[in-house]
Amino acid sequence: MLSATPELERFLPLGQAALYILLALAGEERHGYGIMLEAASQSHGKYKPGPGTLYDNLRKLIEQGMIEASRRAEPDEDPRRRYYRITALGRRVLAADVERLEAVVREAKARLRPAGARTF
Amino acid sequence: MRPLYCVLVRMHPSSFRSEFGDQMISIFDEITAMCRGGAALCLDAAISLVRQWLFRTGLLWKALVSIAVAGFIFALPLRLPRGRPWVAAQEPVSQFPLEDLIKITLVAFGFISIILVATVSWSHALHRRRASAQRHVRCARWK
Repeated sequence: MLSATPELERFLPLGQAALYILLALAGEERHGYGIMLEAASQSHGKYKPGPGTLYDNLRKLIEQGMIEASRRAEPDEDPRRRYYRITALGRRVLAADVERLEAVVREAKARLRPAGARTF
Repeated sequence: MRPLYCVLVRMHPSSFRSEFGDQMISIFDEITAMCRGGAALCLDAAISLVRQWLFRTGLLWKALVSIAVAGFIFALPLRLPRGRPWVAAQEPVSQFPLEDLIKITLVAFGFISIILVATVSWSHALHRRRASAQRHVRCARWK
């Protein structure tokens, strides 16, 4: 089981946009529009960040060292595209936040269980 | 909608625009080519514009401090005559010095405007220098 070190704790809890961006990049490197589509898909269409929100958060995450620009677009793609990938620090922060969320879910499930189902 | 979106992107601080402006327009082109949504994207760009200028450049705090300082400076003379009896002896203070109040308000607004314009241009120049420095660093990395 992971435990958030003080180095990671200062980034926690992640905001909604930062969480979805890191999740989108956890699998593979993506360009901005790809991140938007992946975030919408992962949230089942409930969270759709616009480009302004996306790039504001991307910039913040780049400054914090959690993601980095990886490469320019392929020749057959829109040349304005830029790809981003998660860094080792970003991956550790994401893992720590997921662990935090799991603890929240465990606690919530225990408290919201019907009174009859409780074991004392 | 595209010209409006481009204008909104161009109005962002230069450091943000040079890094992400083209990518934002690229996403706009991609989305509007497939479906509608230009208005929502323009709204997002407008919100981003306010966010970038006010919160990311520190302009909000500079403006608030400038207004507070200007307000203090111009509020001071308004209160001083009451504490100086010789002024009252020379010229009686009217019950409601509306004309003076209007004059001082106009001067205060002028002063605040000058400070705001100076702050914006100073902040703009600072971001241009930072963006240029970042470009140099990136070029050096590529080499």
